[in-house]
Amino acid sequence: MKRSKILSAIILLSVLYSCSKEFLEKKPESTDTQINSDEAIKTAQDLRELLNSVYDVAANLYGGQAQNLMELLGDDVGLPVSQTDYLPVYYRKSDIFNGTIGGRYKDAYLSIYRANVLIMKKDEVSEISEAEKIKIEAEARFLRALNHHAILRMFAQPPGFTANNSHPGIVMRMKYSQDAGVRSTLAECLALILSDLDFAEQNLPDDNGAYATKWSAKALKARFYLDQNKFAEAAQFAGEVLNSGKFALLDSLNRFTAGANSEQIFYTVSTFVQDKISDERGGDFLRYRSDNNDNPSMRASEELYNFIAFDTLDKRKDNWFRVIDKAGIVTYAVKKFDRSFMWIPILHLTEMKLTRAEALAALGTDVSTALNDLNEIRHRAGLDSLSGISGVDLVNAIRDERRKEMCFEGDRTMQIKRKGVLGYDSQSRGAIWNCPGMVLQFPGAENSVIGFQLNPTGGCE
Amino acid sequence: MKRLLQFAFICFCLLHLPLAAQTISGVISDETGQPLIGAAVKLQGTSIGAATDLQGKFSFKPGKTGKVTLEVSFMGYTKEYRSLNLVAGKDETVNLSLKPNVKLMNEVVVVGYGVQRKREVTGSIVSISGKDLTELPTPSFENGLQGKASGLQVITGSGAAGSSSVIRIRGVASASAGGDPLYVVDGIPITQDYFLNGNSGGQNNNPLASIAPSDIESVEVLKDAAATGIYGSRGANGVILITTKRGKKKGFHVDLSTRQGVSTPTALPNMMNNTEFLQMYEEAYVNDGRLGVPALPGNISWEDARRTNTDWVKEAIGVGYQQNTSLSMGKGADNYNIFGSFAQQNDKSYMLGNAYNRTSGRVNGDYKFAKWGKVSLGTSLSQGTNLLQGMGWSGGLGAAMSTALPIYPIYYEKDVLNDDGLVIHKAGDYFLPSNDISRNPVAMRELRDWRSRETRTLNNISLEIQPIKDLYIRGTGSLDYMAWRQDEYQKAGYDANNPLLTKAYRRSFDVANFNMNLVANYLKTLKEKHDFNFMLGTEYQDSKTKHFSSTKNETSATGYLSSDDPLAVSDNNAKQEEWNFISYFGRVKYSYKKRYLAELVGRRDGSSKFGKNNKYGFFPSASLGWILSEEAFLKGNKIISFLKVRSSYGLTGNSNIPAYAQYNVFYKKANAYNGETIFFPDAASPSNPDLKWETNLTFDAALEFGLLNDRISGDIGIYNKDTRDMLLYISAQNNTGFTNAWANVGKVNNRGIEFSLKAHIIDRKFKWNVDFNIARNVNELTSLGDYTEDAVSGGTNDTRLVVGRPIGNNYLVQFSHVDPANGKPVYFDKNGNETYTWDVANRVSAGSILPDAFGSVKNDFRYGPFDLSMFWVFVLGGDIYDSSSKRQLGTFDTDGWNHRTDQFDRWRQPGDEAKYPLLTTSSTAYGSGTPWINTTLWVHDGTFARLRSLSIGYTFPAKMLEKSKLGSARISLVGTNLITLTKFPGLDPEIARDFENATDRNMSPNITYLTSPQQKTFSISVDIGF
Repeated sequence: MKRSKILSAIILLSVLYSCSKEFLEKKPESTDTQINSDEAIKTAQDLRELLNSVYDVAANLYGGQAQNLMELLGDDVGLPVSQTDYLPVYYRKSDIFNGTIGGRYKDAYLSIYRANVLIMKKDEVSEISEAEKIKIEAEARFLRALNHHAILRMFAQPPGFTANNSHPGIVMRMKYSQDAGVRSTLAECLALILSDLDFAEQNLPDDNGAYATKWSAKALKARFYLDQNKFAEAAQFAGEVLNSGKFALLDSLNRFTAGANSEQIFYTVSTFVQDKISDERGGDFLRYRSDNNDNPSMRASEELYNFIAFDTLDKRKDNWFRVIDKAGIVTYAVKKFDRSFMWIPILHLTEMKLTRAEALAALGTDVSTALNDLNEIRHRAGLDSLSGISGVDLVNAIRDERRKEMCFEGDRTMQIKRKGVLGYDSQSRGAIWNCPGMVLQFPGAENSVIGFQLNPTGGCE
Repeated sequence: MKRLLQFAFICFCLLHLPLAAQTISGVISDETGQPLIGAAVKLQGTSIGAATDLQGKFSFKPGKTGKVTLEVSFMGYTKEYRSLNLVAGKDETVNLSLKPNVKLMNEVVVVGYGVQRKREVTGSIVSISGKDLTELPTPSFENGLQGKASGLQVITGSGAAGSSSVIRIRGVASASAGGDPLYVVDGIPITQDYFLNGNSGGQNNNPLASIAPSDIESVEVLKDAAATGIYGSRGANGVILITTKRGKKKGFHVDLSTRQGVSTPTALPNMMNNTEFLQMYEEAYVNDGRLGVPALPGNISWEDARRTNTDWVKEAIGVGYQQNTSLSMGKGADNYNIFGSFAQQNDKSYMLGNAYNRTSGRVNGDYKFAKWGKVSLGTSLSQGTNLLQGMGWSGGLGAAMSTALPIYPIYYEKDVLNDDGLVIHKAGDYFLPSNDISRNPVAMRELRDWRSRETRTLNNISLEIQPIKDLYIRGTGSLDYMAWRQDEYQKAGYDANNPLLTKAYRRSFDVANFNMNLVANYLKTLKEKHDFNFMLGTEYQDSKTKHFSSTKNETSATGYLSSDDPLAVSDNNAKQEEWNFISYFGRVKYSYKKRYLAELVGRRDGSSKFGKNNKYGFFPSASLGWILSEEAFLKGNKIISFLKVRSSYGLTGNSNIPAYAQYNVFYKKANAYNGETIFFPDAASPSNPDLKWETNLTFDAALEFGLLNDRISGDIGIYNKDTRDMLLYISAQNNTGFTNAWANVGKVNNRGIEFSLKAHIIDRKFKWNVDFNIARNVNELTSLGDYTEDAVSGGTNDTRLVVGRPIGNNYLVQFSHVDPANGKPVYFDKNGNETYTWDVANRVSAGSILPDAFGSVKNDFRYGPFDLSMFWVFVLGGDIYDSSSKRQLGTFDTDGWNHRTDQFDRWRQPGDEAKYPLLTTSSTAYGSGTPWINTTLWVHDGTFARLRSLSIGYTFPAKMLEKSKLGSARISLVGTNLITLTKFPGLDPEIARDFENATDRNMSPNITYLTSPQQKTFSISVDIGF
C-alpha cells in the first residue's frame, strides 16, 4: 500500500461523513403506536381517537378517587385504614406532596389539555363534515367543563364563600398553552365553565352511545347551579332532563351496575374483551369492599350509619352496609360497591330528582312536584311517603334524603358547604364548612412557578 | 489457561541462552530487588551490549579487553555506571540495582486526542496508574479512583456487588443533565447510562462495571477547560480518559494475579426484637388514648407475636466472598507489540443472593508496517452478570430494616384455616402477612430468580501515517456495543394473591455506539526555540439504543424467559433511540524555549439532541504556562527543582440529556376506552426547539512545584466555574397538561481550591512516601429564572434547588425539640417561631449534599521486600439525610415497619428530656396529616474519616526467585473499610441511595434510604510475573 493511497482513502472517508444538517435530525421513530406530534392529527379518525382519549382520562378521574377525596372531607366516611394519602385529607391537612391528590389533579388537566389540543388541531383535519367537527368540539368542551368543575369543587372554596365570588378559584385552561397558570377568581371560573356548558348543550346530540349528549350537559348544568344555590336554574335543567323521557329511575337500589341502566345520564364505561375484564373503571371504589377483604380501607362513619339505620324500614341499611365487630371494636363497612366490575354513573337521575326537589322546595313554586320527587326516592328505599310538609321542613327532608341516597358518591361535602353558604351552622366532623382544610391543597408542581397561590394548610381544628 | 502458561514457559526457555567464555553477565533489578526487564546494558560510548531478559539477566561478549565503563539505563530510572577492567578469558559478573528517577515531571500524560509531556501541560490533569486502581478490591474500577486526585469526589453507592459510584469533578454544575464526567476508553466516549432499568429493585445499573480494572494502564482525570475543552459540549463535568494496556516491554512477559477475600457489612442495623417492638407498639396505642387491645400488623395474635422473634437482618446477610484473577501476556518488538488478557471476577456480597461476576478478555496490538505507517487494534469482550436481590426499599436487607417485623415468622407453623374450614396456608409455607411478599425477605429471595447480564465489546482500529516529516494523520473507527438483558423469574407463590401463577420477565437494551475520528498532528520547531504542535480533527459519533421487554404470565413458566418463547408477550414498550454528534476541533500548542507555554483549543459540536434552533455550538479555550524553574534565576536552585504556573480560561458544555428531549409525540393505544382506540399527545414534556447544551465558563490557575530534586512535589490550584443555561427537567405545573418540561434555565457557580502533595520523606533502605490531597468546593445556585424551590426535585428525597444555596440541598421543616411537657415535637415556622404544626409552607433550605472539603492521605512504607500501605479518605462537613428514619423512628403504623432501638430515647412522661417525641400511631400527634414527615431531625453531619485500605506486602527478591521460573512475585494482604470515624448515627456515612433519574443523582447523593452499608473486606493477593 502506498502512502498516497492511504491518504486519499482517509480524505475520502472524511468527506463521506462531512457535515449536513439532516445528519443531525434524529427524531423519534414513527411507528403504529407512536407518531411525531407534527404529523399526528390528519384524519377525522385521528380526531375521534383523540376525543376518546379525553374521555379516557376523565374516566380515570371518576373511577373513585375524585369521589373518595371529596367524601374524605365530609362526615359520611370513617377514619381510612392504611391509606397514607387519604389520611391527611380526612384530617383536613392535605399538603403538596399528596400523590393521590396530585394524580387526580393531573388527570383532570390532562383531559383538559387533550381537549385543548383537539380544539387547536381540529381545523388541520380535512375530509370531515362541519357538523361532525362541531359535535366533536362540543364533546371536548363538555369534558373540559366537567373537569374544570370537578377541580373547582375540590380545590376552591364554594360559590358564596365571598359575596361576589372574588375568592381564588382554579387555573382555567381554555386553550392549549404552556404559559404559567394563574388562578382565576371563582366568578371567572364559573363564567368560563358556563360558556363551555352552553356550547355543549347547544351542539351535543340527543343520543351519542356511551358518550356525552345534550342531556349530560343539562344535568351538569343542574349540578353547577345547585352548587351556587341558584334554584331556578337548577330546577329548570334538572327538570329538562327528567322530562326528556330518556331516563327512568331504577327499582333497584343499585345504580352501580355492570353495564347500562336507565338512570345513567353520563357515566364511565368498563369493557370486557373475550370474557376478560380488559378495562375496568371504578377500581378506587373497591377500597370500600369488605366482601373479599376483612380490613377495608374505606368505611362509613358511625354517624351516617345511625342516620340511615334510624328508620328501621330503610332498605339501604342492609343493602349498603355491613357491621364489622372485631374484638368489640365496631366499624361499618360499605356494600354499595361490592362488585368487581361496574360502570360509574357520574350524573344520574336520582341526583336530578333530588336536585329538582330541593330547588323547587326552596323556591316554594311547585311543592307538589318536589314532594313527589322525594317520595319516589323514599319508596324505592322502602320508606313511607311524606305529606303535608313544605318550606324549610321539606327542604331539610330532601337534603336528608340526598345525604342517605348519594352517600360515598362524592356529593356530601358540597352539600355541607352549600348549606353553610346559605347561613346555616354547617359542619363536617367538627370542622366549619369554610375552614381552609375543607379544600384540598394543590400538588407541589403547581408551585413550581413564582406567583402561584397555594391554599392555606389545615386550620380546621 | 494451562496452554498459555506452557507457551509462556517455552518462550522463556528460548530466551535463556547459555553463557560463553569472556562474557559480562549479571542481573539488573530495581530498588526493591525486582528484576528490570529490557534494561539496556552496554559499554559506554559503544553500541556493544544487551538487554536484560525476563529475570533481569543480561549477558554479552564485549569483544575487547582493558578498562571499560558499563552503562545501565532503563526508562524512568537513573542511569548507573560501573568501571571494569576486562581481562581476556575472564568472565565478569555485574549485579546492579537502579534507582527510580523521581523527576516525575518528565512523565507523559494522555490528553484528549493525544499525549503530552506532563511538564508542558497547561491544563489541569491528574494521572493515575492502573496499578493504583487495582491495589484494593472495589466493586467497579471507578471506585478505585477514590482519594487519588484532588477535586475528584467518589461516593461509593452501597455494599451491593458491582454497585456504581457517584463521581463528581469539582462539585456539581448540572441539575438534570447527567453530572458524571465523560468516560473515554482508548479514545471512545463510551455508553454510560445509569438508568437502563430506572431504579427497579432499589438499585441502578452500573455501566462501568463490565470494564476489567486489570486491563487499565492509566486513568487521566481532566478537570479544567484547557484539558476538557477539546471535548466541547461534553466536557463540562470533566473527562476521565482510560487507556488500556499494550505490550510495551521488549520480549515476552506474562503476569498472573489473583485475589481471594471475604466481606462483611461495615455496620449492622439495630432493629428492635419482638419484645421491644410490642412494648413500643402498645405504648403508642395507649398514648393515643385508644382503648382495647391494639390489632397487630399482619393480623398476628398477641400470643403468636410474643412467641415469634425473627432476626430478619441475620436472615438477609452472610459472609461475602470475592475472588478476582487476571492473566495477561505481552510481547514487544521494534515494529510490533501485542497484549492479551483474561480476567475473571466474582464478587458475592454479604447480602444473600447478591453477586456480580465478570469474565473479560482483551487483545491490543500495534503494527508498524512501514517507517511512515502503523495500524493499531484494540478489542475487548466482557460479560458481567449481576445476581440481583431487592434492596433498599425493594426488599432484602432493606426489608429486614423496615417491612419485615420481628413478630413475623418465616414460615407458617401450622395450617391456617378460613371461616369455612378450608386450609388457606399450610404449615411450612412462607408466612406472607397481608399477602405481601415484601414483608418476608426470605420468601422474596427464595421465590425469585433475578439477574441482569451485560455483554459488552469495545473495539477500535486505527491507522496512523506520516505522509511528510512531522505530520501525523490518524484515523480511528470504533464500536462500543452493549447487550443488556434483565431477567426475572417469579416462582409459584411469589404473588400470594395468585399463588399458582409464575411469571417471567425480560427487559432488553442493545446499545450500539459508533465513533469515527480523523486527527492530524503537525510538529514544527523554528530556530530551535519555537515549538509548535498543530492538531486538527473531526469526529462523528452515533449511538443507537433498542429497547424491548416481554412478559410470560402463566403457571408453567419454569425459569427465565428465552428470547424465542412463543408464549412471551411483548409489552409494547419497544422503542428505539438514536442520537449523534458531529464535531470539528483543533488545538495549537506553542512553547518558547520550552519554558513559556501557550495553548488554544476549539471545538464545534453539532448534535441531534439539540433543538432545531440551536444545532451547533462552539467551545473555545485558552491556556498559558510558565516553567519558572527553567529561568536563569532558578536554574540549579538547590531547593526548588521545578516550578510552574499555569492558567486557563474557556467554555465547555454539557449535553448529557435524553436523545429526544426536544420532541413531543402522540401515542396510540387500541382497546383503550369503551373498547375503542385512543390517540393522545405525550404528557411527559412539550417539544422545545430551543433546547441546547448547558454552558460552563471556567477559570483555572495553578502552581506546580518540585522541591529537593523533586523529593517533594505537588500543586495548588484554584478555579471558578460559572454554569449558565442550566438544563432543567422542571416539574411543570400540572395545569399545563404536562408533568415535566426540559428547559435551559438557571445559573450555578462552583469555585474551589485544590491541593496535592507527594513526598518521599525517607528514601534510604527504609522508605516512607506520603501522598496527600484535599479539595474544597463552594457551590451556589445563582439563578432559577421564574421558578421556585418546587420546580426541580431530587426524587422522593425533598432535595431542592434554592437560589443562593448549593445545588440539591435538603428542603425541610426545621425540627426544634421535643416538648418536655407533652412529648410533642416542636418545629420552627418560617419566621423562627416555635409551633406544633408541621406545615410544608415552613420548609427551609437545611443541609448540603456537598461536603465542605474532602481528600485522602496515603502512607507507604517499604523496608527491603516488605511494604505497608495505609490509605485514609476523609470528608469534612456536608450533611447526610437519613431518609428512612422518618419511618424507622417515626409513628407506629398499622401497616407496620420495624423500628430502630435509637427510639428508646423517647418521651414518656411530663418532664422527660427526650431526643424523640412520644410514641403514637397517628401523625396528628406529630402535628401533621401525613404520616411520615421529613424534618431536620434526620439531617446529620456527614463528616467522616475512613481507613479505606490497609495492606501489607512481601515482594520476593530477585535472588530468591533465581532458581524458580518466576520473574517476579508478590504476596499481600489487604483490608478495606476497616475503620470508620464518624458521628453519623445511621449505618454508613459513605453512602448514596438508588436514584430515580439524573436529576436525583445530581441532587441527592447524600441520602440514604435503607441503603446497604459498604463491604468491609479482607483479602489475600498473589501477583506473579514470568
